[in-house]
Amino acid sequence: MKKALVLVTALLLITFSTLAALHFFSAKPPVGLLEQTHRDIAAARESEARAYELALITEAEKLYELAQEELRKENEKLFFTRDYKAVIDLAHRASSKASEAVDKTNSRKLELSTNQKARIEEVREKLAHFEQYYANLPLNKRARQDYTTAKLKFLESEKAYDRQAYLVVENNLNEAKKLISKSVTAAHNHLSDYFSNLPNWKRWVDETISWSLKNNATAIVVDKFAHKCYVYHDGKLVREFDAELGPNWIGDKNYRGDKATPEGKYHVTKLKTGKNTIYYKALLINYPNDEDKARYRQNVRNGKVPNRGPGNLIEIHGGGGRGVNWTDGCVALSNDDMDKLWRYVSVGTPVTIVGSTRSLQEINGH
Amino acid sequence: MKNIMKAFLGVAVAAVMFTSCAKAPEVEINNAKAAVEAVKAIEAERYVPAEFSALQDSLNAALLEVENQNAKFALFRSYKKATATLANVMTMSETVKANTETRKEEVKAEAQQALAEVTTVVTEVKELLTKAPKGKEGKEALEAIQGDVVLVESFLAEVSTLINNGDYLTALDKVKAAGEKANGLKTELEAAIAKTKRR
Repeated sequence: MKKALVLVTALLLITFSTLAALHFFSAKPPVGLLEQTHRDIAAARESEARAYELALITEAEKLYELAQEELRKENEKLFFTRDYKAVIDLAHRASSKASEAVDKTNSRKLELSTNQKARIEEVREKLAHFEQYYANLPLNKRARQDYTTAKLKFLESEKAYDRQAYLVVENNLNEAKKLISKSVTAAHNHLSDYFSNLPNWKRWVDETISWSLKNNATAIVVDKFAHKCYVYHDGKLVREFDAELGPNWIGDKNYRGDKATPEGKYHVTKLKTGKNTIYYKALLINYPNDEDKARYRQNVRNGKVPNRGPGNLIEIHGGGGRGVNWTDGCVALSNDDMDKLWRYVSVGTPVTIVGSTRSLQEINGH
Repeated sequence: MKNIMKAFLGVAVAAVMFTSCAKAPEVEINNAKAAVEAVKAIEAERYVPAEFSALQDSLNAALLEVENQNAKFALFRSYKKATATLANVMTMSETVKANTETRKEEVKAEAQQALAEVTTVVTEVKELLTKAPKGKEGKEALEAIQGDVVLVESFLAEVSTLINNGDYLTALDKVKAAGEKANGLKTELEAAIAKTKRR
């Protein structure tokens, strides 16, 4: 009996020692590798891979979960039958996907950052171009609305770009570009139609300057687009003044109350001072001339304009210098400039009013 | 007889050594996982990314430690370290949750303050519009500015919606843009009014 117990105890000790030895030399779980994989996935998350490379980071996370699952399964087996190869393989694949997600995210961010920087500048230039050449023109409300919305979207893009939220930038910048391009195109087309009269305007101006040279006399040219009043004497430019017009100055005057400044060849019919004018000093011109009257009648017949008469009492007068187009169709100069102009003019002095003396391309490079 | 009893006792001790072993802290694991999920649900990853990442690292370390112990010979398993780490995850998750809420409130307050400031500027612009010259000069310009004010206000309405939806960072971008435009309009109007007064 005693021998049997000793034998059993010995057998148990041998078995225990054998199992301990087998366990000591059996496969170890790749815990270090899994920790590294987890760090790789954390790095991918930190790089914003979820926003830029969702598929890749999701795959990396899935593979890591499978690796953990596989580890649990292997640990449930008898120690000498465990094999962690699948765990190691899944962990490596997860790390690889995480690293790929980081690389692709960083490269996408860099690409967006570089590309957006250039596009932000492009939109900024378009906005500046619109502000310089079109913002103060009497365009339709839609063009102004599109420009303002584009400006707001652009500013929002800039803020998002500063905090590196490139995906937010993308949407706003695209919208800003679309809107400002639409505004510029609409304004440019509007002006292109208007500038189709340029050959006529240039001819009128040339004829006016020639007349001044030929008669050794003064002639006035008003360039509406430049908002300038030029004084020629003996065919030479001797003075130029800033001029303000009617708010609807783009286009010819068509009828009474349209707040447009007429275009054509006129002359001074009366010089007004003191109680004769509320605008300090004024030069009345012969608007409407015969051409204006004929055009007005034709437009009324075609139903293009209301039958209110072509308007009259168009003058070059003082009271200007307000920085806006405010007249009912007259040309306004500051009172100081009216004093200077006064020295050159008399009844009969030619006054030629044109849309522009320069082409649209010369003005804005487009 | 005593010797027989000792031998049996030895065998019994050996049997106990083989059969009894530490249990994995399943309850603590489930609690820690639930705590991390709860913190994730309140967008900790967005507002306190570094803290949330550290929390996830701790949970992951605890889970791997559990598996590390599971891989050991039953007699040598000890889940003390894993249990301590899991307890730390629970404490950390409370801290991260609190910090997320604090950060959210900070950004929300910043967005709301910016919205209030820009709304004030828009009100000032509207007041200036009433003071602007009523004459025919500038009428067109004033109409254009009024149109711009309407657009800025619609932008601010979007900001309010974003704040209500908890998208504070986008709300801040938008409110700053609206602020720049509103201040531009204010400057434009002040200059126009000053010019009129000088005349």
